[in-house]
Amino acid sequence: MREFEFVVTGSGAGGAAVAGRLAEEGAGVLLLERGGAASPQKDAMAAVSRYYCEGGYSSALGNTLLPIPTGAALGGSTTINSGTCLRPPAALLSGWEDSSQGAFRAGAFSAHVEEAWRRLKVKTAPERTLSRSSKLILEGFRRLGHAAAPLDRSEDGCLGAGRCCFVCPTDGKMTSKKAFLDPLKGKAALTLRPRTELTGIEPPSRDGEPVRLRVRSLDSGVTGELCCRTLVLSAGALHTPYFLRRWKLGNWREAGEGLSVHPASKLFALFDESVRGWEGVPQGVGLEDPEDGAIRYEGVYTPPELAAITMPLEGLRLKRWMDLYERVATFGFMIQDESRGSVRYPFGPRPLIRYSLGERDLSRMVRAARFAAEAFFAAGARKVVLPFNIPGNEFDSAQALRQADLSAVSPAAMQMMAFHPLGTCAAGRAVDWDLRACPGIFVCDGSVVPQSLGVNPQMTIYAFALRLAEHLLKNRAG
Amino acid sequence: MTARGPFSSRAVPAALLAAGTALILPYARAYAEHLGLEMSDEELGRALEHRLSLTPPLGRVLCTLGALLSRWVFPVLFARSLPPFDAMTPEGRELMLSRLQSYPSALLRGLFVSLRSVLLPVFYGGPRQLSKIGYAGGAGA
Repeated sequence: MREFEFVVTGSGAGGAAVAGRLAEEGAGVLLLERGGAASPQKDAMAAVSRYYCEGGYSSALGNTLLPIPTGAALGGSTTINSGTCLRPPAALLSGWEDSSQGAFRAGAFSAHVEEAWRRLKVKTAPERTLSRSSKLILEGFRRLGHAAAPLDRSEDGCLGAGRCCFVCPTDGKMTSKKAFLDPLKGKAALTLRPRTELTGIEPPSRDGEPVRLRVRSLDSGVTGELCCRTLVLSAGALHTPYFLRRWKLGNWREAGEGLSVHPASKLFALFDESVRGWEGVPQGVGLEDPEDGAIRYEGVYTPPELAAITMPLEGLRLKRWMDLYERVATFGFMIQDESRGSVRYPFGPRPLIRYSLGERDLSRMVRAARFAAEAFFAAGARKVVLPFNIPGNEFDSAQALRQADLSAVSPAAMQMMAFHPLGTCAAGRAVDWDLRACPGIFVCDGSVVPQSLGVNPQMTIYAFALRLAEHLLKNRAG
Repeated sequence: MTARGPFSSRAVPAALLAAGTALILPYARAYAEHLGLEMSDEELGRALEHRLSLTPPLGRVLCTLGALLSRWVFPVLFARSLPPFDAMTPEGRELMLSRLQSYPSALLRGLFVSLRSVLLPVFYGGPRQLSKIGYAGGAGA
């Protein structure tokens, strides 16, 4: 039976960074990834079908329908994310240090965040790559007295092709694969096995014994067995809990609980001028709400071939907007949710996701929509559609918007998505603060983040991964 | 690594795709007519089949169910009109679509979203519509 020092499952922000960092120090690492290499597609829907989990149909059910797209390719969700990089709030890190009674060190973690920042070549989106959609909302916020600004992004040679979420056609985005795996190509320490899934775990009964694994090739169907000293599960917040629950690893009863998602939505605004929002970085600018730190506004732009699906309009009303899509700008927001959901697996590994939007979160979403719409009107928009599936969701003026009674907006009426599932194997609950589930088995992906962050999470996940790698290397040396 | 779902959208049997397309096509045709889109039956059928092939099996089932309900049941429920959708007046169709879109049920929305996910890219993601707005497409366009 082949033995590896480390086996890592999943090549997203968590898995690729752990695997890459370990291999850089000469540790023998096998990285398994269920997806394959992603390549740019002419049609955005083809990219969704090939490189998103469940072909993009992954959704939470509850008092609302909430699509939660995650990646299914080498690089995990970093292959399909917008590339936005934000540091975790210092107050959260301090809170974790307190609640962990020092097992988590905010200062040391911040150093890992900075290391990830350097590795991902994070830089502020330059003016030349901002879309007209971004520039319009910047101007709108400026006229209202609010300073939105270009966002920091993980990129290396971005040309503003506007396809961040559908596999960058110019390879300008720094994904986890590009940052941590590509530099190790040809190096013996890292063995990469795409299109391979983990199908069985036999945990060791005590420290020092190997972990036995069963794996299967998705292309050939061939199964095999191997073992390792240490297994790191990095399948993402929606999938990693399956392994803990299925094989009853550690505090497995906590696995799958505590799901936070950053509910997000967007507005559409019609202008008299040409916008062509598909030209330029879709998520180029952002700001924090001036009164409520739990609301973040960030750019978003859906290519025309998919945009109609995300508009809360139907029939001829929808057609009027789609015929004029060249003049349509969009902008979005997300919230640091207080609501919590769960993930269970009644049908094997496929997750059944439950999530209901609470009253306070709903009122934040409504407030955010109003605020962003005001900015669009300030920028000169002729019409704005709010993300509510209710009659009368189109407005012709800021005054009409201010007078609107939006009390009919319920969670079921919200047109929203969520891109940041977190917390389902939380540090301090399902795993300890070293991210250890049980002897020889660790977890490292968005599932370990113990609470809703309120900021795009990739930097935080990378930092957890670098921290774990440091811990594993230290134990290895010991 | 992501856990495997029991369904894979790869290698969809041609007969299954054709059957799904055939069930959805009458509703899609009526909807396209309602929007004033110039699409031949052949063009519509081909585009529909292509979109279905990109949809996971569960999505295809929901979409087909949504199309059948939209054609035969929702005209009565949402527009107090006799089915099928194809025979409704333009006002009746618009009323049904508008009420469906704003109906406050997450379950119904799931069904309707699956149908929209297939139909709307057919109507608004084809070369004619995209060139109308000056969009050349993504990578490789």
